Amino acid sequence: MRVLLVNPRFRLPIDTRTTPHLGLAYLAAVSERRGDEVMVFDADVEDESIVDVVRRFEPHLVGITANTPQVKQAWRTAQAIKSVLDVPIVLGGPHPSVLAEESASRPEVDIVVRGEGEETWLELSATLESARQTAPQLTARELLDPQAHLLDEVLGISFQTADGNVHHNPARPPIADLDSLPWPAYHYFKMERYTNLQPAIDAVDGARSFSILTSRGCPYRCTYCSQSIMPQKWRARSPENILQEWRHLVEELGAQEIGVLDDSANIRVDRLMRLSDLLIEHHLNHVPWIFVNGIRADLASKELLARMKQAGLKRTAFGVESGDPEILRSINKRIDMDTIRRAFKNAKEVGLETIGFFIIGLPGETEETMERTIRFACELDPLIANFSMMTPYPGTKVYEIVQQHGRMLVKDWDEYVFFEGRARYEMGALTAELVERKWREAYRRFYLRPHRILRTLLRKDFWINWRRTFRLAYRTLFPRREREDLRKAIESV
Amino acid sequence: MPHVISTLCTREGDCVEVCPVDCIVPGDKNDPVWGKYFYIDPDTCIDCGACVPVCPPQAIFPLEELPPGHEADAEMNARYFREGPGYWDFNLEEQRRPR
Repeated sequence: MRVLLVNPRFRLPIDTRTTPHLGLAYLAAVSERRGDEVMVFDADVEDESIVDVVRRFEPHLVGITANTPQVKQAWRTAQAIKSVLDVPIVLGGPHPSVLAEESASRPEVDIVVRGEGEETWLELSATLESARQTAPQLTARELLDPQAHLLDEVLGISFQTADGNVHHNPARPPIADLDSLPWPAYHYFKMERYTNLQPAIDAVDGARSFSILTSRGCPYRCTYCSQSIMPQKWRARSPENILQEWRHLVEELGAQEIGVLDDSANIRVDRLMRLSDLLIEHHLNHVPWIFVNGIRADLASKELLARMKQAGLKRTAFGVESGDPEILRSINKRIDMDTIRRAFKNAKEVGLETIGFFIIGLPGETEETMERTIRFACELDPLIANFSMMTPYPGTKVYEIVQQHGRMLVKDWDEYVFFEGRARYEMGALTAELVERKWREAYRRFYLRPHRILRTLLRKDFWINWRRTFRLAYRTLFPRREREDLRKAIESV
Repeated sequence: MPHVISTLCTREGDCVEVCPVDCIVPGDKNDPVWGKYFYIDPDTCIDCGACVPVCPPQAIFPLEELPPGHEADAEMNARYFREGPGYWDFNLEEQRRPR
C-alpha cells in the first residue's frame, strides 16, 4: 500500500529552525517495516504543493499530524487532498488526541487517532489493506459505512460514520516494549533542508542534527503541561537499545549533534548512568548531545550530571517554571527552589551549559510572584533563560481552571503559537497588560545585565549567527508584523 | 518526600502498574505479618504521584499529607523494606485483589 504522512506547515514566529517530525519518522518506520511504500510530506521544507504530491503519489492512506496551533492548517490540508483524491485521511497528534470529536466531526477528516500512534496506524493500515482486497476501489465513505463495521475493533480511534454518529473506540494500551519499535526513518525526510532545535555546536545551519527519544511520557502531572494526554505510565528504552540507534546516527548518518527529545529522561537515574557508560565505552562521546526539553532537577545528582558530561552531554535544560514557592506548589511540579538551585550549581560545576525554562502568568500569579520568578532566573543565571507566557493548552489542568474562572483571550487555535508576546488569558487580578509587561521585563532584565551582554558578545556562535540573532530580537520586539506574516504563511497550503 | 501507602490499601495493585521506578511491592498475601497491604520503598520513590489517582480506595498520600490517624503508616512502609521481606519476584495478578 502507498501511505503518505504529512506535517502541515507550522513555523514558530520566533525562529525559523526546523527539525524532522519525530512522530512521523516513527510512523514512517513502522509502515516501512509493514512493507508499505512510504512518502513523507513536511510542508515546512517542501517546494511542491500537497495537491501535486497527492496527484503524483496517489496514496491509499494519508496520515496528518497536528498540535494545537497547527490543527486548522491540518484541516485545510485534508480539504486540499480530498479535492483531488478520495482517500481515507487520518488525523493524529496532540490536539486531535485531546479534542477527538472536534476533528472527527469534520467532513474532510475520516479517522482520528488518539494518543500513541504506531500500533493504531499499523492496525488501520492492515484493516484498510484487507478491505481493499475485496473492494480495490474502496472509498473513504465505504470505510465509514455504519453497516460495514470495518473500524469497530480498532482501538484508540474516533470516527464519524456516514449516518452522522461520532464513535470513540476504547483507548489503546500504551506500547509496553519501546525496544520493539524500529528507529525513526529519517531517510524519508529531506534532511539537508533541516537545521535543528537547539544548536549544540557553533554551526546553526548546515550541521547534521538528529533527534532521539529514549523514553516516552512523564509520571508527573504538572498543571500547565499537556503530558496528561499521554498514559501515566512512563516507559523507557533499554540503554543497549538506545546505544544501537545512537551508533547508527553517528556512524551511518554522520550526526554532528544529537537532541534528546524526552519529556522526562532522568526518571530512572541508573538507566542514564548505564547509557552514559555505554556511550563512553563505545567511543560515541565525541558527538555533543543536549536535553532539548530539560530533565527533572530533583533527579539530577552531580554524579549523574558529571557522567553524562563525560558521555558527551553539552547542555541541559531544567524546568524551573516559577521563583515563588506557593506558585511552584500550586502547579504540582513537586519540586522546591533549593533543589533547583542545587541542580544548576551542580550542572555548572561539572561544565555543562544550562537552560532555564520559566513561565510568566500562571494562574494565581501577582506582580510580586512574577517578580520573584525574574529574580530567581537572574540568580540561577543559566546560559539561556526562556520565559514563556502561560498558554493554556487543551488537555491541561490550567486550561480547565481558566475555562472555569478566567477568560480566554485567544479565539482561534491558530493563535496558540507561543513566544508571541501576547497574553492568552486573564483571570482575576492577572490582567493581560500585567503579564505582557512582566514578560517583556523578564527578558530585558535577564539579558541586558552588563555581564550577560559581555558574555553574549564573547560567544563565538553570536558572531557566526549574528543575522539570525538580530532577526530573532526583531521578532521579539515587533511581534505584530511577524504574526501577520505567519498567518499569511499558514493560510497558503 | 516520598509517597506512602496507608492502611486504607485494599491490594488493588493499580499503583504497581503505573510506578515508573518499580518501587511498589505487595506484601505476600499469605504472609500473616505483611500480607494486608502493598508498600512503597521510600528510598526509591521519586515522589511523582503517579500512583495517587489510580488507587481505587484513595489509599496513597504524599508523606506530608497523610490524614490524621495514619501517621504511623509511613514507618510501616519503610519498615517493610528495612526489616521485612522487601523486594521480591511477585506475580501481580496473583497478589492483587481478584476483580
